[in-house]
Amino acid sequence: MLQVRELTAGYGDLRVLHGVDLEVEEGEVVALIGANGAGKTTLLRTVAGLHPAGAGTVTFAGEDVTRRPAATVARAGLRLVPSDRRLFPRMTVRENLLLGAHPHRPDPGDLRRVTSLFPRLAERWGQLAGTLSGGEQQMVAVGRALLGRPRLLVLDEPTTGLAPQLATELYASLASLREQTGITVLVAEQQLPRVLALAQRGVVLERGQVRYQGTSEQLRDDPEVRRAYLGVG
Amino acid sequence: MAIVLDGVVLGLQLAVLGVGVSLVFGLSDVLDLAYGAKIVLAAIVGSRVIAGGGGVALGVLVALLVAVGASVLVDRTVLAPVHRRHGEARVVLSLLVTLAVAFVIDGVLVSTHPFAALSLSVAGPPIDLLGVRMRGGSLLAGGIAALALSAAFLLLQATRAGRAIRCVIQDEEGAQLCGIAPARVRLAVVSLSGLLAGVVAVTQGLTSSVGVADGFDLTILAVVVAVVGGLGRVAGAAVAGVILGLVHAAATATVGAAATWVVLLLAAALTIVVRPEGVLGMARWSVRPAAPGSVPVAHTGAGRTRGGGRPS
Repeated sequence: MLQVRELTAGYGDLRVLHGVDLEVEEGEVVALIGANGAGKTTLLRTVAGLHPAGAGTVTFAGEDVTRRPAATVARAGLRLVPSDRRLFPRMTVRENLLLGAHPHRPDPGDLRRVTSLFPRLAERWGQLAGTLSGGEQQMVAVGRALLGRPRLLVLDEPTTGLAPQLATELYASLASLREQTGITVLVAEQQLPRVLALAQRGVVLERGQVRYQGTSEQLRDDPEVRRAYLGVG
Repeated sequence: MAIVLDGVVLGLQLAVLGVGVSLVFGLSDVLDLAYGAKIVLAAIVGSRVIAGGGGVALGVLVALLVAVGASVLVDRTVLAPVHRRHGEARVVLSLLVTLAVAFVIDGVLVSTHPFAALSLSVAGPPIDLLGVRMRGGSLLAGGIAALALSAAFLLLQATRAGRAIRCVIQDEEGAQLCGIAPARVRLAVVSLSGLLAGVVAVTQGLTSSVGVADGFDLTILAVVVAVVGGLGRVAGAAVAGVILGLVHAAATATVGAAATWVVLLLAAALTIVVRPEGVLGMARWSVRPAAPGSVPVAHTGAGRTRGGGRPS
């Protein structure tokens, strides 16, 4: 589904990614783990076409999308939910969700699925997205991505800024989404126990390079993972 | 009552001006200081068609097309390097580039058509409206401006294309994540803004006339209306236009035409001080405190920032 090969990226002279290799198979949930500054966000933004790639390639669904504009990558079915959500604050919840399906009319079944995953959104239907709480905004952001019928859902630290209870709720919704649809997911996260409960496999990113890969079970007790997760060393 | 009606007719035209500038700024952070020059260009070309025997209808059509064409041409050529920049650099460069465009258009028109002007007269006696005798041209201008504003709002609020435009204005990156290409939306918005410039050329031609010397006044009015409306806020620009139109008419009737500009700018400055986010400001938000532990969404763009946004 997604193959990242020898990918480099940075900001001006500052190189952030130093030849990252990453693979996500169809139907998999892969956790991208790393401390602050490890390059998780840059990697996901580069894959989604929001940040220019240096060297290397990104192949999605058999097509080289390395230097494609973000809108093209999104239309091809790779939907990123960034950690700052990027909602349209002066539009209602409904309009935000509808834009996920743009330019098509959303499938009523898809809308029902999103509201059954996140029942709170049905209560907030006509409310402006900018006035929602952080947790509700995250639900809209995930819902908006789902309405685009993604082949790969990419989540960048979905629990950032959420109270623990809301974070738990969000992961419960993601688990139920997985159960219902078997959707392929790549999720960057610092909340190790939560994300490993959802993912089958994890990739540890450290200073812009993949340090370690393994199944969730292998990662759970690995001292190196804990070191990356805690950001020490 | 006469002051109110005059104010509304002028205000609707100012609203069209402000919406035209605000749309483009909201979308791409480009503050178009050549807006007035494009209106004048459209008016002069239209007036030449009419003077050449092409008829008023063809003249108006050509004026509208010239305004759209000039907007798209400027956006695709000299503004291309501006669009490649981001943030403050883009805003500053857009000011310089559009100012240069204004000087070029102005210079060419002054040297080639120094005395040309678009003046569209409507035949017939004054029409009685709410006890006030109004010139047919003024009423028609007000009607056209109101129609153009309504059509623009209908497009933005009630169509899928309009929703895509609004979402790019609110968050360009968010729009890309939905598969919406900002470049295509920009073409649509720049064309719409150009069309509104053409509409102003026609309505100004109906109420008075548009000549080569009017470009900078029109630009200043457009920018003032857009700023008072809250730069980038389309509905705000429309409301600001009508308010400033009423202020303009009241000032002309009381302190005289000479001091009108001063009153207008004072009113604008006062509005900006009282409502820095534009006349509609917070009113469009239903204020509700965020839940504990939550992070409010970050808003981008001048005049649209609301407290609580976090850096991203």
